[in-house]
Amino acid sequence: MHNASAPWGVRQRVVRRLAGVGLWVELTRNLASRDVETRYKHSLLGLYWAIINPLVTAAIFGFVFGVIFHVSTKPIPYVVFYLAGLTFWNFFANGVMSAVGSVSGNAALLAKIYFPRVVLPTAAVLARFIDFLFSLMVLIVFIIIYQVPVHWTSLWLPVILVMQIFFTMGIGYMVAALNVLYRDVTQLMGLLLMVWLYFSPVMYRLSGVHQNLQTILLINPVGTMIELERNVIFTGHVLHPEYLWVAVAWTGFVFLAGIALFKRVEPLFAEVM
Amino acid sequence: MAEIHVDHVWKQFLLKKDRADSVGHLLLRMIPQTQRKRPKSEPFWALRDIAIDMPHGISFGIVGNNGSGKSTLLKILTQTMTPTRGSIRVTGRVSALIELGAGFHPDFTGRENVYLNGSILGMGRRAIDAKMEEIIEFSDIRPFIDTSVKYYSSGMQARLGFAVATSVDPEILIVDEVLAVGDEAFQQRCMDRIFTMKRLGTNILLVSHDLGSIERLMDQAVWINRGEMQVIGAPRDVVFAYRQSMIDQNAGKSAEEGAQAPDTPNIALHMGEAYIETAGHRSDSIQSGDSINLVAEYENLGSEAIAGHFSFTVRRPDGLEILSLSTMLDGVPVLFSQGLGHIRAALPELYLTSGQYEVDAAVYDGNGRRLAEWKALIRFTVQAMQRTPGLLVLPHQWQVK
Amino acid sequence: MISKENSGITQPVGQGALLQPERFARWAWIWAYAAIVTTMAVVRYSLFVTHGFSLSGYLTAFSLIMQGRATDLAAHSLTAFLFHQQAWGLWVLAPLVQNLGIAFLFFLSAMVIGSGGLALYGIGRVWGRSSRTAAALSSLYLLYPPLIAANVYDFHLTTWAVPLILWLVWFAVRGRWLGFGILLLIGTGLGISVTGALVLTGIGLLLRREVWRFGLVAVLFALAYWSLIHRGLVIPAWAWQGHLSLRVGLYLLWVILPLLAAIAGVIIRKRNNIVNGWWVPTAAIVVFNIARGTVSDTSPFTDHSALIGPFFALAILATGELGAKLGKVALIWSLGWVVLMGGYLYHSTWRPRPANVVELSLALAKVPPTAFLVSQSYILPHRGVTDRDFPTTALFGVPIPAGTYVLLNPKVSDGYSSSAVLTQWLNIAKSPGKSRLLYHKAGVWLFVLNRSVLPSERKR
Repeated sequence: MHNASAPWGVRQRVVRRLAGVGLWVELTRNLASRDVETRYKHSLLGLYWAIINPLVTAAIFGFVFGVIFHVSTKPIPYVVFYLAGLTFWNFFANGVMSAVGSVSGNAALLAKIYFPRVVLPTAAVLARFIDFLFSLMVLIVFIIIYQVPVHWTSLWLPVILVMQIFFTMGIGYMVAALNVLYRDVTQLMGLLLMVWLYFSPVMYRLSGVHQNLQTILLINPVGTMIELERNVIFTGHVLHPEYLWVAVAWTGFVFLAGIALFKRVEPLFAEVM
Repeated sequence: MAEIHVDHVWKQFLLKKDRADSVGHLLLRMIPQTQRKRPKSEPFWALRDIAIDMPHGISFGIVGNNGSGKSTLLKILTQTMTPTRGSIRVTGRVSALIELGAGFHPDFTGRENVYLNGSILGMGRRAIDAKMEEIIEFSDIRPFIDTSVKYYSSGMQARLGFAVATSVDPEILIVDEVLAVGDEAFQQRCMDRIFTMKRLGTNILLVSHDLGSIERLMDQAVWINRGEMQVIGAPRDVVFAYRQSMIDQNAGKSAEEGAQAPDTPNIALHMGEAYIETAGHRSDSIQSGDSINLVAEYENLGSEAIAGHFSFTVRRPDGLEILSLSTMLDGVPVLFSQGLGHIRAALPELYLTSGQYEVDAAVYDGNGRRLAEWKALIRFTVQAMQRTPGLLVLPHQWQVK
Repeated sequence: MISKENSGITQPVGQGALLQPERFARWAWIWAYAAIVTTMAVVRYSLFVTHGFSLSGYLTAFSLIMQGRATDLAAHSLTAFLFHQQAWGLWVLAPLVQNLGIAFLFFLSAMVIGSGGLALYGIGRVWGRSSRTAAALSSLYLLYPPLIAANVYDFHLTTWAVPLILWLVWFAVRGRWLGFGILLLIGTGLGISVTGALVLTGIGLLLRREVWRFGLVAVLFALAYWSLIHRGLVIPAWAWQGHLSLRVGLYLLWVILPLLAAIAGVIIRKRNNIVNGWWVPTAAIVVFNIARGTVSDTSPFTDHSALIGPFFALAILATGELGAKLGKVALIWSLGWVVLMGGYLYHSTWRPRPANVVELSLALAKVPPTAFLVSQSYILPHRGVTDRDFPTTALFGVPIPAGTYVLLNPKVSDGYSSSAVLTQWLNIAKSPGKSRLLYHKAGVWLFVLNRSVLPSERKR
């Protein structure tokens, strides 16, 4: 067989590999769209749940903090401010929580033939990204209702979102792999995400925090990304643009380490499950 | 070019003992222990030194008892597991049917699962669209194709699974014992399809307890026992060796039982080897309709010849007697002369349905009193061209007027 | 079977080249290094403690280059040393830093230097070392204090020579001329001391039989470039007066001591390959460093000490496997490095942290982006890359015009503005005729000059 592979040039090998990647993409897309469909399949409101959840939470928090506690986020109404933060946070948190069970919950798929298992958490995160796009529409509706001016720097949003997807996937790979070994990871991540939420500028404004605390809060890449996303939409003025590169570096690390860890644990999947 | 190369594969399973199952346990394990406490778990090798070469165009059968490591080997071949030692090399597109419902998402409909499975097996959406009709047709579940798979019966799942796995035009098809779930007719259709694919050049890797189909369909076979390769080679030899071992095992068992029973033959006649002869050579697998001889070798240890009668009884393993050949009924007494000898019954045509059969032998005195009996002296398999119910496959013709 | 069919080549299972766990793990290590170093650098930056002597110089140089005023580089006391380095890499970096920010410079530098770890690992594997040994040395490289210090506390283009050397050797041992040649060319862009390092790399390669041709090319190329473009050789002169500070002590402990220990190892153990060519460039750099010997040069945390790293690592790597015992020593050693770096981080980052970060930020916010600003060098980087910055000490050959803002934080020194200079500026702040005070709180002064200040009026 060795001579069979020899005449193929590098180019042909690349083409074949790309074709292979194309099939994985197909599989990922298939899994992700099915995930979205089944999630809302046996529910009356269906996909509207992706909209209702952030709506209700935003209403509650908008009432509690905006009306009762009078938290000021001028010039943006608190409801819109909070909904914006929550929308981006929810993508991360839901993505991670979907990824946790994506491998351990799909034992039947694993028993079939080998396919790169990385596809499963990837599809889980992408499915939540589709949800996210729906809730983004809610945000847009709110922005229109409250007549909040949107800054042209919003055009940067896709770039930051791509980074957030990679970061979420990286964390997703790690927890998905570890969850196969120990199911505690699901519980742990639920707890951890709750703590993480309060260390991210979702319900509060970073500029309202003491300067020294800001630097510590911004080491958290998710916080940086949410702050960036909200700032490019509303103000166009980014408080600490230098932390963008910290977030880039952590994203790269988390993504690669996620894949490395996942691939390391992968051979055990069939045995442990 | 599709081929499989298994290079001295060993597989050891992670036993539960080796995994920490609580935080306390986990912390305890972090303390370095020299050799005192750590329970040294017995290494259990599910596979030992398996080496198989399956060149292009060759189909392989795997036989062995339950728990012998066949399924582990298949899992390694489909790469859902990795070998502990050694390596495998698989070239060509593989499709597999290993576990019932493997690759199905219970919440998806049958149709959605076909797409999902297709993409797992490396087929694009458009390619599946083209095959969809064929798959539904073959699996025969048209009314349910848009129902969630969790409502499917096991037979429906197996049918759909088989239809998808074989429709993706694989170069290598790996099939485990799942087909046993389907009914006879479906099993027959599956075997036909596998046979067709084999003719068209697909490499087949089949694990089956249906030794007949292994012998009939495969080019090569291997018998695995307790994780070790026993015999590898022509399916006829492999199946023969496997059967022999089962006979030996059973013989060992019945010998034990026999020791307890007082019904030991009180005759100085010792039965040696018994076998079936067809077309001049020994075989334990025959085609329905073959001309055969039943042969039994004996040794008269006594000082004089014994006059009496002899009988062969052919029966199914479940005990149903099909055929009894007796010298007494035929009125031809036999004389077991002193020393070695053999007795032979010729059957010009034996039309039995596919399956396993056993032959008992018995010796009677001149008055018809049974002196000794040997249960399951010969075991043999019959293969018929068609799988039909009933006992016999007789030559027949139809005429309609 | 997706992966198999499309790779089309026979390969052992789980070893698909695209998804090799080891490869991802190695890249993850590099990114982890980049993430930690970038975080440390950015935190330090946002706390107004990036008063690296060189960083101010580089940023000024970038702005001048972006203004098309590269000729001013030589006249500016901050950028003169860069001008003499003749590093064309500055021209490549300038637009990147201006558009992507200073944090990008930190990030890029960390990535470039971290990538050297990959090269070292690759070289080790080509030379037949076990994965464990190669990974151990590569981790030690990543933890090498001078390299981290040069990034976290400062920026030095010359430290990029360290990964460059390692990649050069990697290309040589893999026999790839194209990459080797490109890297040689890139090497000339990093400055004069790097050209010297190229010669030393060439010598190291010359002394290995299988790659001597690469060595010859490197030596000839570097010598030619050195003598053609630069005027003459720069020969270090012995200038150390025997001054033994804490920094020098640490330097001896962490850079020279392992060297001595390794040399002792040569005498005692007589391991197979311990006498190898890589000791020559290692020793050469140590001698240069001690000989040039200003206190800052022999500190453990400068770019010049950093150049010892790659050669030392190659010398060890060429020696052979790290045994179990040596592996343990390496582990303890790297832990020592981590502690050392932690101590240094505390010493130089948290201890002198200005208490008035908030005030500084508020004052800076009052300065319009188009205005000229005179300030200390740790404040100036916060305005980004602009030519409207004047360090407090540095003397342009131009008068500082009226309307220029001055922002002072006399409590915290930037390391090279003398107290005489600060006093002079404070006097201007306190005289209402000369200036208009805009902000004064917690020792932070912000005022606008009412009339211009001529160069002759300014103290040094």
